[in-house]
Amino acid sequence: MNAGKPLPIALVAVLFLVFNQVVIGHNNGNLPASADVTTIVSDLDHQWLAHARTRQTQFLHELFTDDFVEVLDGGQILTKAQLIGSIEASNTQMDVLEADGIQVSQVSSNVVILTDRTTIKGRLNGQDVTAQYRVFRVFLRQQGKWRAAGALLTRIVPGTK
Amino acid sequence: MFEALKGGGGAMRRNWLLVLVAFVVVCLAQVMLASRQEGTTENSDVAKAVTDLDHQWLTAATNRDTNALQRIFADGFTEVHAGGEVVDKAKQISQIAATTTKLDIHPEDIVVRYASPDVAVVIDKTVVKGTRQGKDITGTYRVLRVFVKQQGEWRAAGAGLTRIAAEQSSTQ
Repeated sequence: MNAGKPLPIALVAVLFLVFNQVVIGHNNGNLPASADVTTIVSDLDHQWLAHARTRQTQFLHELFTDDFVEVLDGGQILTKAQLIGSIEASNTQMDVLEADGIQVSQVSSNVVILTDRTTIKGRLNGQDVTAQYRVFRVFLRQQGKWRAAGALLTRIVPGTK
Repeated sequence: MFEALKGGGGAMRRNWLLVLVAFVVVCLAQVMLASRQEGTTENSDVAKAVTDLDHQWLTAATNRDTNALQRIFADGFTEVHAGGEVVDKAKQISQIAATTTKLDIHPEDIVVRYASPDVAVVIDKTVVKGTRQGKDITGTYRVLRVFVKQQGEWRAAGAGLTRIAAEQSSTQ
């Protein structure tokens, strides 16, 4: 009997470990939103544009999810590789690429919708894209890191709030 | 004494075996969780659910069924209209409910670009005929839509629209 006593202890340890992995591990994706999510994704938004303007595409490779998609004003769809390729193209030149008027809505612990007004002066793939755009951006938290999953740009019609 | 040690050794072996089994179970649980989080096993179900919801959303907007829209839109819903207006859930529903709004909307070419068990990013081409708050918005739009699963229900978290270029110049 004495020799069998450690057995329940081992079982308790097993149950604890399984509980820890299944329950706590699962909830990691659903923790309450931290107060600084707005700051984090707003900062990422600024960094996104700064690195695109200066063609520091390594940052963009890390920021964009593998399935990242961008919809340009007019409806053209670009994948992660296509967008980064366009930013690196020799006929792309961004003199101004900056965001203001950022609004953040956290719709779940792992999903944020961010809107901003993005001012662009320059050319993308040789095409003049100088204008102000309203941009709809999607950020996802993956393995604890916030990453950009998509964006859509629409040129702001004068007088639009 | 030797007998006791022998008996103890057998129990020890059993316990080590249990620890080994526990380790395997924990590893399997970890793999299953990772699989769930990456959505590798449920993506087709997610795609079907959000594609259906995309249709329900636009049907509800066409019918000005604001009860359905209240249910479909998540709290925190955000939409960017073509042209740049940003509206929240309440404003979007009030615009659709306005007597000066009359819309016939349907989606085409729905493509699920990202799917996990609780998030989906979808692109579609949305064809709109009609007016919103008295303004003609007839046209074809590229739309980026985001869906989240909350308390077991898929809901629309937001959308961004841009008019597809061929029609843009003639209507703006």
